[in-house]
Amino acid sequence: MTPSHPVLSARDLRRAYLVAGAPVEAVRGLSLEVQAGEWVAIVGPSGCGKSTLLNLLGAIDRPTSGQLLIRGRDVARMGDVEATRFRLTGIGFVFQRFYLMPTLSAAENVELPMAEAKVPRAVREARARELLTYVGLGGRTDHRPFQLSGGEQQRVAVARALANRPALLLADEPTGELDARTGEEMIALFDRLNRDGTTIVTVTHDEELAQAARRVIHMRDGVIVDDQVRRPLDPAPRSA
Amino acid sequence: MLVATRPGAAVERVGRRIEASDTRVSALSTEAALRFVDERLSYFRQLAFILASVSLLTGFLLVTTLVTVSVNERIGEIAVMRAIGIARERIVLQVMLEGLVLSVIGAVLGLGLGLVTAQWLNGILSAFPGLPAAFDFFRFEPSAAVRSLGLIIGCGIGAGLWPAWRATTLSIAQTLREEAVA
Ligand SMILES: Nc1ncnc2c1ncn2[C@@H]1O[C@H](COP(=O)(O)OP(=O)(O)OP(=O)(O)O)[C@@H](O)[C@H]1O
Ligand SMILES: [Mg+2]
Repeated sequence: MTPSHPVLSARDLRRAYLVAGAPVEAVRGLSLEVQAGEWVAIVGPSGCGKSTLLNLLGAIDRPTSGQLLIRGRDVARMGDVEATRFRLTGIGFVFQRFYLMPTLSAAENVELPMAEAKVPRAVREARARELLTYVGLGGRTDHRPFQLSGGEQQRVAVARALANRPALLLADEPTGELDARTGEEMIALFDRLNRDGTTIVTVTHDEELAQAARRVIHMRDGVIVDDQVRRPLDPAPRSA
Repeated sequence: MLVATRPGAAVERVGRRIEASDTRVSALSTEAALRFVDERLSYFRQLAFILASVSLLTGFLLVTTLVTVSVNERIGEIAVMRAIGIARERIVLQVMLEGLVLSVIGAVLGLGLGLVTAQWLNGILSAFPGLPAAFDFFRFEPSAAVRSLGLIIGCGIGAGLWPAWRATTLSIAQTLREEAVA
């Protein structure tokens, strides 16, 4: 992989919603490149189109126009089956409200995407345990979501997002439902993930989360108004 | 009085001759007698058919409603599953299976209840004076039970169709957004 190979490349992305018959653009001609190993925080006033953009980047929504390449693949033109497959193996999602399956244990929640990707049982059980240990929940693998605190549930959600080793981790307000201390722990987890090589894009109102990211993008009215790299990527390891 | 005819004889004509010979006698061929009983019974059959159809329709609507409610309740969950890459078919399968399981449970309970009720009614009706001892009003026919079960399974699958379709054609982003507001 060349050092500047972008994981994500968006060109003139637009997304319009029909409101009372008239199109309203939530994302209006946005271009963005994210390199492997980056951690980007997208901030901006409520309603400026952050979630809309993140949904486009995660292939759960389709742009009205524009080009979106993730790992060189044209996400905007994918059909439903292909997009679903792409989300399964290429993207990890963390939501504000955790959204774990309430009837499954922590380990089963983490195994769910792996089972869908037809990972053999023994492999996925081992990986689920490993991931839960990584996020600090090694002793809670058999707990159901209702037996876990909000911060713990969000950790399980992070482990689930990483299950199929996605190229990109997307998180919409991952600390939005957490108190200050648990939020800090979550930020520390994202930091560790990023240092270990995960490319992350988070949308957030959380000033501390934005401060911790390597790069902060400010949005307003559906476009990027400011883009600052606060902590450059470590020099790429030389390949022989 | 039973009258036997030679094979090939015109039974109806013989009957008319007998009736003509004595006005106090009415002649009924075995065939006509069977037809007569059959007509009386067909009334009950029609009634049973109408009752069965109404129950089936009610059951169908009930299962559709139950599955729809259960899908609506988990619509956020379903959107999340779709978002993390669970295929449409798996969700369709799961929703349809739910309808099927509900229907089969209903069918088994219904069959049990039906058997008990039939036996009870049979007991009451058979106690009527003057009936032959071996006379049964209700009889359990395995083939009819199998046919009904097949019909119910078909209905169970059909009942899941609409909620399953709803569950998989939802807009993922929109549903997640609505869930976040709720
Ligand atoms: N499904 C929709 N139909 C109509 N309008 C929508 C829809 N989804 C979003 N919008 C509009 O698009 C704009 C951007 O919404 P979006 O959710 O992306 O904002 P956001 O930056 O994530 O806001 P917040 O910080 O409050 O989460 C808003 O004006 C919103 O009302
Ligand atoms: Mg948002």
